[in-house]
Amino acid sequence: MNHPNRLEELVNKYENVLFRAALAILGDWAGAEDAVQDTFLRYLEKNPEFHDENHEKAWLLRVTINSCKSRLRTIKLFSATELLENYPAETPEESGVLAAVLALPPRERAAVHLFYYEGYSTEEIAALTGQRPGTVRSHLSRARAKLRQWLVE
Amino acid sequence: MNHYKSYMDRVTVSEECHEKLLDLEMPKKSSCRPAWQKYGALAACTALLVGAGVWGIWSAGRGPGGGPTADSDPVQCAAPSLPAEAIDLAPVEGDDIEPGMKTIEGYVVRRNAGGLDVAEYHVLPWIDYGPDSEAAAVALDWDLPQNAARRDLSADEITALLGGADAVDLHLDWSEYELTGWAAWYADGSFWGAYLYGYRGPMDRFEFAVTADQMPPTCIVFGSSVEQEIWGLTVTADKYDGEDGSSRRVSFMKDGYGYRFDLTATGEPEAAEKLVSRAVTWIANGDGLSLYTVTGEEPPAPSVPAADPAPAASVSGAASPAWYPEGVEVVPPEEMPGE
Repeated sequence: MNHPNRLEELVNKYENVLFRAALAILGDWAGAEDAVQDTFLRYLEKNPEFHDENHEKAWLLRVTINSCKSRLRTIKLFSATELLENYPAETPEESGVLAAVLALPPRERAAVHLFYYEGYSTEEIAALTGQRPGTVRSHLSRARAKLRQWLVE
Repeated sequence: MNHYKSYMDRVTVSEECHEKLLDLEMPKKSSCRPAWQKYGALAACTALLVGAGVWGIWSAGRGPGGGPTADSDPVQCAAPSLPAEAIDLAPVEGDDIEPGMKTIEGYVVRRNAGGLDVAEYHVLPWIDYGPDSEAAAVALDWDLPQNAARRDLSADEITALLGGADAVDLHLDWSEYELTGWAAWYADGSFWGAYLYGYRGPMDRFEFAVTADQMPPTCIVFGSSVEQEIWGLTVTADKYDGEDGSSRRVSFMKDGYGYRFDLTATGEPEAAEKLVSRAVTWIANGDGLSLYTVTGEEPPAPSVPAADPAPAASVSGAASPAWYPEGVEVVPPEEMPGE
C-alpha cells in the first residue's frame, strides 16, 4: 500500500537523481521535471515492491528514462547552443564539458551520465535503458572519442 | 568528467516542482484509501468515539443510522503489490513504435543484468507483403564476380556473424534450424557477401544473405512486392502462399550492406512472418550482424573493464563511484592539482 509518507521519502531521496538523469537525456528543464513527475505518478499507480535500495533506485531511473524516450519523439530537439543557455555553468571548464556532452546525441548522453555520473556498469545501463549491452558499449565508445579531452582531467 | 559531476551535483528540481511531487496523488481509478485516511486528523477521534459507543454523535455526513454513506467510502482495500519485474517490461531501445507503424506480437527476452532481473519486450513490426505473388515470375541466374572466391563458413563463424548464440537463440529464434553458409571475398580481400541457409525440412528453410554495396542477388523475382519504411529502413517485401507452404521475403539496404531474407515454411503464415520480423528487428535495431567477423574490419572497442564500479549509492550525495577513464592513471584525490 502506498503511504503518503513513503512518497515523500522517495521524493526527497530521488527527485534530484531522477531530474539530473532526465535533464542529461532531454536537455530540457521543463521536460525533465515533467518526466520526474510522471515517474512518481507511475510509482503511485504501480505500487511496486523493491528488494533493496539499489533496486528501488534502478526502478525509478528506468521509468524516468522510458518517460524521456517517449518525450524525445515529440519535444523540439534543441541545438547544443540553445541547451547551453539553459545550463548556467560556474566555470569555463564546466561550460566546456557541458557543451561537449550536450553535443552528443541523447542516447550517448544518457550512457555518459549513467556511467560517469551515476557510476553504473554497462550491464546495468543496458538494464536501465532497455538496450543491449553491446549497444551501450558502442554509445560509450563513441562518446568517449568525442569527450576525450574531458576524460583526461 | 569531474567538471560535469560538479555541475550536476548542483542541479536540483525547482521548489515548485518539489511541491508538486509531494502533492501527487494516486490516480483516482485505483484510489482505495481507508476511510480513516480520508478524514485525516479526525480519524483517531472518530475511532475512539466509535469504540466508546458514541457513533451516533458523529452522524453528520453519514447515513441515518450513523453508519457510513456511499460518500464516506468505508471500504478498505489495498492496491495490489506486484513484483517490480512483472511490470518492468518496456520496449527495448530502438524498438520505438513510430506513428502509424503496425506491430505484431513481440517476444520477451529474460536475463539478469548486473543483479537486476530484466524482462525485455521486443516490439516486432508488421510487414506488408502485398498480394499473393506468382511464384517464380522471373527466374534469374547469377554467379559471383570473376575476381571473387568463396569458402564455406563453420558453425562457429556463422554464429559469430549473426551476433552470437543469444542472437541466434533468443532474438532470431533460429535454434531449431541447421545452419550452413558461405562467404565470398574479392581477390584483394574485401568482402563481397555471405549467404546463410537454415534448414529443418524440405519446405521449412530459409536463405539469408548480406552483400556489400548491393542487394544480394537472387534467382527468383516475384511478380509483386510492397515497399515500406520500417525503423528507418526501406524494406521491400513479397510473399507466396501455396498448398505446401508459405514464402515470405524481405530485402533492404542498411549502412552500405544489402540484406535479403527468404523464408519458406509449412504451418501458419503468421509464424513465418514473425521470424522474418525478428530478423528485420535484429538488423534494424541494436547489435545486428557482427560484420567485422567477415569484413576484416576492426571489431567495436570493448568496454573499459576497470570502469565498472560497485552499484551506485542510493542516496544522493553519498560516496562517489570510482572512475577509471580510459588510458588515465588513477590519482588519489589528495594528489590531484587544482581540484
